[in-house]
Amino acid sequence: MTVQRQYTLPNCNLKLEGLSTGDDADPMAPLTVVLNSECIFPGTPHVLSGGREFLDALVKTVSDYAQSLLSGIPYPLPEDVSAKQPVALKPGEHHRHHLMATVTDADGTATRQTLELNSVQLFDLVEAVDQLLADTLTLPDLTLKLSSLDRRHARPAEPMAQRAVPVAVGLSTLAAAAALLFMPPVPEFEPQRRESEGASLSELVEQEAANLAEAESSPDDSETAPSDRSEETSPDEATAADPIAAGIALGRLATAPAISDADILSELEAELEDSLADALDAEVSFEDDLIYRVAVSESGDILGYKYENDAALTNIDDTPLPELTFIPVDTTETTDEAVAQFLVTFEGDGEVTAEPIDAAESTDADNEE
Amino acid sequence: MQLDSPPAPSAPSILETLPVPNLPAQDCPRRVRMDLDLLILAIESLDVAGSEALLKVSEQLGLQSVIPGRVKLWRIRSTNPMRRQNQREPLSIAEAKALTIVICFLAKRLSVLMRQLLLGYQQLSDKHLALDHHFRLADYLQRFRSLFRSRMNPQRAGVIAYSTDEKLNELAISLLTRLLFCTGTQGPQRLWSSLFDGEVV
Repeated sequence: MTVQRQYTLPNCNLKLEGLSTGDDADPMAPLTVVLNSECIFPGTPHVLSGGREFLDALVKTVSDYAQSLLSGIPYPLPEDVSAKQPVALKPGEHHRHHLMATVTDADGTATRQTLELNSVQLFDLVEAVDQLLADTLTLPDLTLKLSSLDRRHARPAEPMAQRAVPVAVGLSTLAAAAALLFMPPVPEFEPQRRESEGASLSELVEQEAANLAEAESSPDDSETAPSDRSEETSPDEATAADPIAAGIALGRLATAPAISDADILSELEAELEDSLADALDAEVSFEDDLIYRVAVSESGDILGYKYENDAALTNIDDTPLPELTFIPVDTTETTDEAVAQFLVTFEGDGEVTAEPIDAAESTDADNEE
Repeated sequence: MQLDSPPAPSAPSILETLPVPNLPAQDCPRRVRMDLDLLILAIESLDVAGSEALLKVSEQLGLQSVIPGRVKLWRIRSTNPMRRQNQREPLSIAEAKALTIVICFLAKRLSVLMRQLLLGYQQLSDKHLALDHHFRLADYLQRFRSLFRSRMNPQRAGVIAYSTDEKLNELAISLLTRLLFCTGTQGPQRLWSSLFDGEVV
């Protein structure tokens, strides 16, 4: 028996024609087979009609679209109609909705229809569908199946392009910093040698000058300072050309008794002048006179020397003094040997003069210094 | 048989018409709390006695155990993170269900008015006219704007997005549309399901 069901709402009429199973006389027999379904929007010329396939697509699309409208989260709905999906809905401007459907005529030609629905019309369509779904006398197999979208569909708070910006900025900054840091050369690593080995002789002389100036500024330390310095300098490494060792040698002689015999002094004076004048390089010339205090042993060996002016310190390598000085093996040991002290002057023209210094005077001068 | 204590109150049976969503946490997500409060705000803008009606309806539907009174209703609504007096309490599933059912019930009463307003909005926007030309619609929008501004914390990022009249009008119209979809035969089910879109696991 052919049965007709109609769901009438102010802006949408849904009409179903089909066959009911069961007893013909039973008015409660459910409609189970749909022959034709028709969707009419009063006030518009559009009539959408089709079979069961159209009805199923309409129910599914309208129901999902209503949910996406309620939640604001887009459902995975087809953008356009296709052979598989004859009904599609998509949002338009100003709370309007575009309903698209492929309608097959009685003679079999498929035409595509597009309707613009406002919210109220769409609601009436949804309500008609809901009433059909809730109706147990029509298509009992068709019921409302709602399930919330899971988290994968949650709309991100910001579009992908905006979320990518911080990442891109961070990466480009890192790349720029890496490129900039690549440009300066890699610093070469030089294993640091010990100061006493690496430092040149002149540096050592300057250092010694500083040390001596320090020692001179504090007379109390004058006795202890030389022994301190001797610990810093390894005696094994001291050579005849080492002015520091020579300086120490002079310090070592502070307690040595002085030679007071005038004959011996004059002899030593002449010997010293001769030996220095012989050893002095003829080609070397100085601008200023170089003045040294030199200690000489009774046998005529130079035991130590000390510069008396700045020129003497800077030009020490040009004088024969470092070569001629006798450096004892043990510089810390004080000597009891009698010494004579001379003030030796290297003049600019290569002449060498030596003057004996009174022993008492020199120790006084030392103490005053 | 003698009982030492009264029987444990069972949840109102009307709440069982809505399924329990499969959530990662026990309480309702942030969007649910915001949406429910905003829908009630739209009802209040449509009907001056909206919040009174809400209490009365919840009593009629036997939901007193979930919403016992005005204070509880205020506390539930204040779980909306946009509010000035935001309660950092969770919103239970039962409370959210009760609000959903009451909202749909009230929306059904107001459906005629909502249809008028939405049709009026469509006519005005078709003709590119200002929304003030529809007296009833302008009244609704104006009341919604003032209620929103008086209750929501303007420092919140979610509220800053609605700083202008146009944006608030847009929100009011979309809430009106949502309320209309709540009035249908399957309204509560549709609203309930939509609240958890993008939240279930």
